[in-house]
Formats: sequence, C-alpha cells, structure tokens
Amino acid sequence: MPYPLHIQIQIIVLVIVVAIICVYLVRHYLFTLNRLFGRQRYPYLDIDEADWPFVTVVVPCHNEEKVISRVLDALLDVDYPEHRLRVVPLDDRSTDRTAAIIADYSARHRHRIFGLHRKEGVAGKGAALEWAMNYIATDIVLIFDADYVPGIGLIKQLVAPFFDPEVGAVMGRVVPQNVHRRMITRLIDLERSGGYQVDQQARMNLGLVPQYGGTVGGVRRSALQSVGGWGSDSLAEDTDATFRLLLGGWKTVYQNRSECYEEVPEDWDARKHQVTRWARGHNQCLARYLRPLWMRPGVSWLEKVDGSLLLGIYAMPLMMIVGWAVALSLWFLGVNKAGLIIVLMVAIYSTLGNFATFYEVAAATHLDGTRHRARLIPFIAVGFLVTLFAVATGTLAQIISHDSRRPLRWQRTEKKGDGG
Amino acid sequence: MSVPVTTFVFFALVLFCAVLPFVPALRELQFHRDATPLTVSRRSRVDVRHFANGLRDFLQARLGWVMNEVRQSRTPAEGHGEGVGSYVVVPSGAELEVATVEGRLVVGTGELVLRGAGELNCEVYAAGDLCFTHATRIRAVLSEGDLELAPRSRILRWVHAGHHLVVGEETQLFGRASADEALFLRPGTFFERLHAPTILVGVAKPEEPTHPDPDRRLDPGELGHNVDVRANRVLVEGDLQLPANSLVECDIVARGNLYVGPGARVRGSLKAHGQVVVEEGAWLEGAVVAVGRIEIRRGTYVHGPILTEEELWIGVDARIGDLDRPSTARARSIEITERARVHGSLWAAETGKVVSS
Repeated sequence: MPYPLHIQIQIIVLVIVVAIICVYLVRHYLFTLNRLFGRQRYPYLDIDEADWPFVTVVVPCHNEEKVISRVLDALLDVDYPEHRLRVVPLDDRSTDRTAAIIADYSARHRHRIFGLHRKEGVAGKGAALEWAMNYIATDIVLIFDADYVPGIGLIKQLVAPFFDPEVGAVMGRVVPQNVHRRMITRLIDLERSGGYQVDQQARMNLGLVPQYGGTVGGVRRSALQSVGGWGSDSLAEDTDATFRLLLGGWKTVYQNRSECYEEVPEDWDARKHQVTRWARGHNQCLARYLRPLWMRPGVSWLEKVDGSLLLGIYAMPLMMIVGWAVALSLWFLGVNKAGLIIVLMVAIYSTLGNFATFYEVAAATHLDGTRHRARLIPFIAVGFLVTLFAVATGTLAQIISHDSRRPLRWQRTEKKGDGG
Repeated sequence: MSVPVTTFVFFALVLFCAVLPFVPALRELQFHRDATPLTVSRRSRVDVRHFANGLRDFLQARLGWVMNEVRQSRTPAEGHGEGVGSYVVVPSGAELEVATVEGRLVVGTGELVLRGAGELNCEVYAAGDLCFTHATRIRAVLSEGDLELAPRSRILRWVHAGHHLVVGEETQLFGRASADEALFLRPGTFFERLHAPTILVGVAKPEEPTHPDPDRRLDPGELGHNVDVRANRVLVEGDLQLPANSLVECDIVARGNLYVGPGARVRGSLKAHGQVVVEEGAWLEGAVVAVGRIEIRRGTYVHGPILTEEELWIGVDARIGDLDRPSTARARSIEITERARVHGSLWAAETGKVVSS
C-alpha cells in the first residue's frame, strides 16, 4: 500500500539528503587518500631564482591598532627585492589609532610603505580593495589581513605561481599562532590543518578548484579586472573571485608549503560570528555561480563537480538538520525505512564537520608530524555542533530575509594582537 | 543472564567505548604536549646554501679553536669530540689519502688535496681550494674556494664551492650541488638540484644565442580561430603553432601542444596543457610552463622560469636566464646537452642528466 503524499515527500527529501551527503563523504575520502598515497604537486615551490616582478602587498584594515604594526614589520623584513615591492596598508574608516600608525610607518619608510586612507564609499573588504586598485600600478597584488604574520620567504613563494600565465590567483596556507590559548583555538587549529593540509592540497593535486581565501594569497590584477574586479557587492570577495576567475579561464593555485601565521578567535561567540559570515558569503556565491559553472565551456567536468561541491559546502549543515528532522519524523510516523536512516547516520558521522572531518584532520596531523594534537579529535564534535547551528541559522536567515541586499559593512573578528 | 543485566552491560559497554577516546583528549588538553604553533620556516628548502652555512657554523662553534691552532702550528690534529665524532684537522696545502681518513670528519684550514679512491661517510671541509684526485664517495663537501671532483665521484647529500665547482664525467650528485660563482658539468653527470650564477655544460665554449629579428608582428587575434583574448593573455583551445621569425607580444595559454617556430620572439609567457617545443634560435622573454614535456632546442634563449611536471630537454647552446637576472628550470626529469648554459637553478625532482651533443 502506497504511503500518503506527505510521507512520500519526506522519503524523497531524505533520499536526496542522503545522496548529497554520500557525495561529500566520497569526496572527503578521496581527498584524504590522495594526500596519503597520491602524487603530490608543488610545481611552483622550487622557483628560487627569477626576474621577480613588481608586486604590491595590500593590508586591508579597519580598527586594527593592536596588530597593524606587527604585519608591517614582518613585511619590511621579507627577502623580496626591495625596489620591486610596495606595501600598501589600506585603512578603511578606522576610528582607532590605525590611521596614525600607518601614517607613521609611511613617513619612516617612504619608498616602501604607501598608506591609503579611505573615508567614504560602500563598506566592506571587497569594496575597499576595489577602491584601492585605482592607486595600484602592479599586476601582481598580494593581500594579507592585518592579523597575519608573513615569514621572510613568503612573498617570493606566493609570487612564483604567477609566472604561469594561466594563474589568476594564489593561496597560501594559514597556520594558527595562538594555538595553546584555549580549547577553541586548538580545535580551530585542527580544522585549519584538515582544511588546508588535506582539502586544499588534494584539490591542487587532482587539478580541481583550490579556493582563494582572501588573505595569505594574491591575484593577477589584470585577470581579476577582466572578470569584473573585486565585486564590491559580494559578501565573500575571495570565493567570489575564485569562481569568476575560474569562469574566465584562469586557475587558482594553492601553495601548501607557503605558510603564514594568523590569530584565530578565542571565544565561541566570535567563532560563531566568523562562521556565519563565511556561510552567508559562500551561499551568495552558490546562488550566483552554480548555474554559470555548469553552462561554461572550457571548465572541465571535474572542476564543475568539485566547484559545485565547494559552493554547496555551507548549505550542508542546514541540509543535515533537515535530514535529521525528516528521519525522526519518519521514525515516529512508523515508516520502516530504518536502513536509509542508518545510512544517513553513518554518512553524517563520517562527514562530521564538513570542513575538516575526523579522518581528514587525523591525516593532516599525521602529515604535519604532530601526532599528540590528534588526540583532541573527539572534541571536534563540539566545534562541529557550534558550526552546524551557526551556519544553519545564518543560512536560514539569509533565505528568509534575502539579506544579500542589505548594505555591506566591515565584518571582522576581534584580535588580541599579542601573537599568542 | 537476565534481560536487565544484559541491557545494563550493553549500555555500560557503549558508554565506555564512547568515553574512551576522551581520556587521551582530556590529558592532551590538560598537559598541552602538542600545543605549539606548527613551524612555518622552510629555509632549508628555499636556501640552497642552508646546509653549507650550517656546517660552517657548526665547525666554527665546535672546532674553531682546533682550526686556529692548526693554522698557527701547521701541524695536523686528530681527536674525538662530543657531537663531532672522530675528526682530523690539517694545515693548508696538506695532501691526504682518502683511505686514511675514512669515517672521520675532514677539515682543511686552507687548500686540501684528497688522493686515492674510497668512501668518506662524514663531511669534508676546506677553507681554501679542495681537489679529489680519484673517484670518491662522499657524504657532503664544502670548499670555500674552488672544488674539483674527479670523474665517477659520488656525492650523497650536498656539495658547495665558494668559487668554482668542477664536476668530472659520470659523477653522481645526489641532493644539492652549488657554487657561488660557476658550476662546470661534464657528460654523464647525474644531478638533482644545481644552483650557481652560471652553470656550464661541457668543455667547449657555448655560442651566444642570437637576438632574432622577426619578419612580422602577430596580433593576438591572428593566433587562431577559437581564441579568448583578455588581460593581455591569449587562451587557445587545442594546439598552437607560432610561425618562424614572428613576434608575439602577449602571454599565451594553449590547451593543447605549443610549437614555437625557429627565430620566433615572444614578449610574454607561454603555457601548454600538452607539450612545448621551442625551435632553434627562438627568443622567449617570459616563462615557459607545460603540463607535458618541454624541449628547448639549439641556440634558444629563455629569460623566465621553465616549469614542467614531466621532462625537460635543453639543447646545445641554449641559454636560460642571465648572469644579472638568474632564473629557474624545474622538471621531473631533465636532460641538458653540452654547451648549454643556465644562470640560476636547475631542479630535477627525480633525475637530471648531462648528455653529449
């Protein structure tokens, strides 16, 4: 006897959710196995001698008085040819001492640091970068957020891939510096390891779609401008740029061994806001680029599949919650689909975290040679639950309120500035 | 066993299994055994002289006083030091039989000659010129002056010369080989990573690539029917052939093979998803990147880096980089022909070989 319509709909929804989650499950396994046993690609890392091009390093900042000096000092110390490197701290309407600190550095290092001060216009990092491009002459533009500390050789490593004329953007690896502070910083450290050491590098190995992350990386300005610039209306200018470059025939390169320290959030509230912000931006890109990605000739099938999964990653928590709700509903309605429910549960367990799943994190700690920190993996479930509900509520709010039309503003995570 | 007991045991077991992983997790949280940030410095990989500098600093710290004494007294010293092992320090102008110093750290306070074949499982250092007269298997060598390796020698880790490094025929250079001035290779040499302001292959003086004078300038739109021109880059679906003696002033990406005709000049970088062949006398002012094999034929000049994850073949009289603007050629395997010249770095991820012309 057929089930009533509402039950049939629930079963269909559950099957779709399970199918999508299983696709992500396979993806995570593939990435992990590739990193452990596959051929590893670092094609640009060995460029140690070259006629290095002129480069501008932009440091967008909004009320960053605690950390701005640290990043500027680090950039003054890099081994890139001095006369070919310009550092541009971009102050966007700071109300603290950021502008004064930048002015002081610009005065003391006249030929190397050129501060820009933005007083009006649309708020947000994308808009600020778009504005700054009017004052930048070089084709290669690297971007570091103010709470990052680049090492001596990092600039050369990030510039090297741009010798390849197909490369439109480059992304380095982000490494948390304030790891020991709290449980949350240690969990974020594990998530970052999984995300970069396994996910991003596997995408690089397999010729998929590594993501430009907006900091510790850079873009070829002419390429980005040919596909519409920074996109000042975007909630996530980095993901937006990744997909527009891909659609325009440019590649994004991930450099796993080009690492840079960052300061990660030290309380759950800040983390929740950070993840919600990322989710909103990512979902905006999902709505914008999913269809064009599949319609675009010249983008390989593998890139289309991986790009779609990358776009959909922040829609997954909401989908998981829907799956759980439907599974519970079917259970209590007495529908005998236990097998399906078990598959769903196993799949959810196996893909736990979505961003840095258990096995990806374990593989990442193994690759990093830091086995003791792998012992914290059981606690990732805590981080996962916070992420799950932060992303789900953010996504839901976005769907209900169409909040991508709201005016943009600077979204930043509070930093301590003491380097951990 | 009754049902309640079985149920209790089952749930207790489940709870135990669930809680068990948290025991090491809680201990790690409490004791912070692995809570330092990951190390991000990779100077050893980036800096080709990293190990040479390390050995110099190590010797200065551990054996500096012995070296000073030997310099002044001009008599050799032998000994055994903690962290140093067995060592021998000799004055400038000394000549040693390899067989007599096997298994010892060899330090020359000036010029040094090592005679006879054998194995040196420790490092060899010379504050002046250093010469190996016979095929020797050596762990690592640092010479502050000129360094000469006899034919069929074998370097296991690294070798660095403060001035010139001359490598005999059929020598095997595992790891890094570098010189602060010039590196001379002979046919049959196997290498992995080479670095010097000038790397010369063979004994004959190479001919300078001639600056071509192109017949006509090609506009990006003339490069094919199915091309995407944006941001001074031409994206071509399929193969592309640049005509002989043509001039192109943009970057080119071909999603097939790329063939650069003889005497062509490119003011930009090239990339192919297949192979790249650069014909005789071509002049490339940018980089050359390929997913497949790259052939740089006779008398060509490439200014920018050359990168492939497959094979690279460098022909007679080809030149990569300039003395004042060095470059990098990197491939899975490299074959470099006599009279070719590289200014900068030559990296073979698996095998590099010097072949006769």
